[in-house]
Amino acid sequence: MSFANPAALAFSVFVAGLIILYLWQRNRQRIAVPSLMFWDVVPEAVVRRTRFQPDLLFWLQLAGLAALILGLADPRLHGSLQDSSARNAILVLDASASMQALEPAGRRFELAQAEAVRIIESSSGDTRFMVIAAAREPVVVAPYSEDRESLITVVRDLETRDVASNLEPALATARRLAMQADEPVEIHVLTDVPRNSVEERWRKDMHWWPFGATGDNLAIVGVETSSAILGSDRNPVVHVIVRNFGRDDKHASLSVSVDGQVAATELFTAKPRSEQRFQFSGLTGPGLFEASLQDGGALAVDDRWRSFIPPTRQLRIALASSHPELRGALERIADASGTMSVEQWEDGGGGKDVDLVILHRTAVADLPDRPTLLIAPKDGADVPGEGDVYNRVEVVDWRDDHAALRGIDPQLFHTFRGVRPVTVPSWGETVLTGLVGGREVPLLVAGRAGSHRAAIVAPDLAEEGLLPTNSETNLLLFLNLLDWLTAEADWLRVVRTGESLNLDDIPATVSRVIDPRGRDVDLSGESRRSLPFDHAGTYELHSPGQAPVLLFANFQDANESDIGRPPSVAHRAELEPGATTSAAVTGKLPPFLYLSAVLLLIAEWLAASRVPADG
Amino acid sequence: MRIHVRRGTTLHPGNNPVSSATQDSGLEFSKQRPYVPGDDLRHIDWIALARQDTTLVKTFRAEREAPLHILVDHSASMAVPPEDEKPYAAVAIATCLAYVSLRNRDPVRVATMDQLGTQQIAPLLRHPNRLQMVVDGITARPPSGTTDLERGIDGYLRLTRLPGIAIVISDFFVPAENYQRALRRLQAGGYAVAAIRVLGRQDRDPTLRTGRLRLYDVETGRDRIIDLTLQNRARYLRALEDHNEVLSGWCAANAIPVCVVDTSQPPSVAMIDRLPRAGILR
Repeated sequence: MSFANPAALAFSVFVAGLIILYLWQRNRQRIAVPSLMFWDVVPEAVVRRTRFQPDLLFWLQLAGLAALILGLADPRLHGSLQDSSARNAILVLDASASMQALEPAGRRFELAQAEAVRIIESSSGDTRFMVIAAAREPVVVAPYSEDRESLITVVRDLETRDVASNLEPALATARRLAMQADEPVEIHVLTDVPRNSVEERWRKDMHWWPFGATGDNLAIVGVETSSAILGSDRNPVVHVIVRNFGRDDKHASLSVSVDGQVAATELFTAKPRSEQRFQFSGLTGPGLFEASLQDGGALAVDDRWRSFIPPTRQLRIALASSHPELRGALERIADASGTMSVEQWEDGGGGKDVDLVILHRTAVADLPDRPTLLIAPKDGADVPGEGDVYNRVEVVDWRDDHAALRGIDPQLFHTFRGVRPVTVPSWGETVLTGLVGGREVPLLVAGRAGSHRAAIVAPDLAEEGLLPTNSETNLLLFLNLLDWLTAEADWLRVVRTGESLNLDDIPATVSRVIDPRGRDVDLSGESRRSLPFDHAGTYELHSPGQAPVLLFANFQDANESDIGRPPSVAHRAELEPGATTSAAVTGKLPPFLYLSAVLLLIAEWLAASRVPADG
Repeated sequence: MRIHVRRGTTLHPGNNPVSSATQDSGLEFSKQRPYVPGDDLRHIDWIALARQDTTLVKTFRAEREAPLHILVDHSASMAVPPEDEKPYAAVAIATCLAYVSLRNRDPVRVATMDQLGTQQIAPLLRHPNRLQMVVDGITARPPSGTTDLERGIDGYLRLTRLPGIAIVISDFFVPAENYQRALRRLQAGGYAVAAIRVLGRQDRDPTLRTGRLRLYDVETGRDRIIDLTLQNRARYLRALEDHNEVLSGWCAANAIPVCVVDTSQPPSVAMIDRLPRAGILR
């Protein structure tokens, strides 16, 4: 047995106080009587032989005090199965990012592993254990087994993931497995998630082994990169948002670097439970951008952020349009940007070196072999259209995670005119949806057509008068679309841990993936086309004959970075050096102990009103 | 209701005046005796002289008062334990007895006996209106000092030479020889003596606390550490009972009515039941 709140055991000094009080009362609190002449017949108590002779009242008071102290200390029964009727047990180990937090006694996950090993070792010989690792999703890492050595090996080989905790599916899985078993099953949950933060239906009747006390953590909770879309200065401005999740002031430094060269360092003091925003400008790309915190607290995974500063390059656009207004608008935008040039697209040979082809009111039989933007396309083989033109089309739906809508609130779009609905081709997906006569029509379609990106803009921009920049929203959408179409991001992406990537979105055939730990990711099996990002760092996707695609996975989860736990569930003493283990939470003992303390004190009060027998 | 002490010496209070050999003048005719020279000529029985030609002198006996002396133990033991309120019970009984006596035209003298010796409350009270003086006099000072009935009574006997009925109100928490000597001195002084023992609930059944106790005598300051158990409680009660029996037996043998008054009961119980039953009132 151990204690959830062993600090309360310090109240044991009150026992000494009780003894001292008894001795003091005996010596100091004399009772006056009219005369001792009748007490002289009573044998005098021998007090010198035994200095302290507690009576029944003392023992009752002591028992009441002990029950009260034990209740405050919150005793936990260890999960030994020796005396239990259960012969099956499921261990659920939380392997989320916060379990990497460094406590005085070690990392939370290491403490949990040690506790799991102790549970296994202390069980009776015929107990079968199952081990479930809980991170983004539950994984049964060891089916029911009585082989202690292999179980312990499995537990010790477990590693944390740089993802947020998602405990409830693991608990549901464990409960379902327990219900399917023929024999009673005990479920032990080893986590830093407070018991009370989990729904009662999941945690009911489970042994809860909480870990974690420190809240000392500083995290990069966000990085915003912006650059002018027009003008000659395209150098990005980076905002790094740092949050102090601790309860005390935190002194740290924040460095940003490009391709390993430190560009700036900020020394700062973060106020408790507050955010600070740091702005860095003058960063010159292209290159790998990295922000890192020094002295970032107990959790290290949220101290780094990787991104990429794209190159500023001259964009050559080939336009195929018979509409002079569209060409004029494009040329004005090109002049304003300073990084764009517009030329005539000549199908069948001209403009092969351009970066983007814009086809206006064109029936497309085959898309060009380069990034292509189709504006109000006519019905063609590759892009079938309907031929009808609609006005006053309202935007009703959108994919807000698409780069073309970055920085845009689609609700601000005006109604579109000159919309030529198209049938969404197989390579595209609808980014912006409008409503025409009660039916939805795609306004913007984007996707990968062959080896290049392509997009369809259903509204006729020439008729719409979009490009004369009378609408910032429309202009931003257009420029975003150009950026997305011409991005060199196929070989580099920035993602967040916890997400996954459909490898079909990668143009090349991925044959090998190396995760940030330098290990190959198993691409066999059913999920081979989905690559989960479980670790922060750089993923390398290798394809035969091509340069590897780099994916920068950053850990970003404010809830997970908030590693502090409420005092009621944080067992600081258990995590201090020299502490043995944490303990299972039954959550039932303290109320019984409090009740016992009350009953004992009532008994003491009743006994105090009676004269005891000789003893 | 009157105070009645069945066996006195020569005095009966109230309507039972007692003649005195030393008093030959008064209002009530006593007897005749032959005239001797020097007798007061006003006392010559002229009728007897005329009829019998014998010179006789009429003698008279006086209607003497039978004062009530109330001696209240005012030692520290009377105030312990406070919840027993023995001093107040003693005051109540003393006041009631004084009232009865005054109503029967017998004067009352009240005195307290404490560490300062015998304190006479008033010279001699003759009217019920003075009863408040009794109450104020007794309660003027808290009980203190040791109980020494013999010394207190000796002191009182020196203060007054007017025998009557002496009622001693005390808890009698003294050795038997002490109160026996004291009461004998009163009897020897010509007093009709009665004793009223005042005991509180705690005196009769100590429920101080359980377990080990350090008791100390409020009068002597002596300590004693005891374990208050059922057996020891029984020992205490047996000792108290023995003491009561010795007091009762000795008083009965010496014609001293004695009464034990429980302070937990109202004074009316003592006046209506206990004291008449003991023969002190009727």
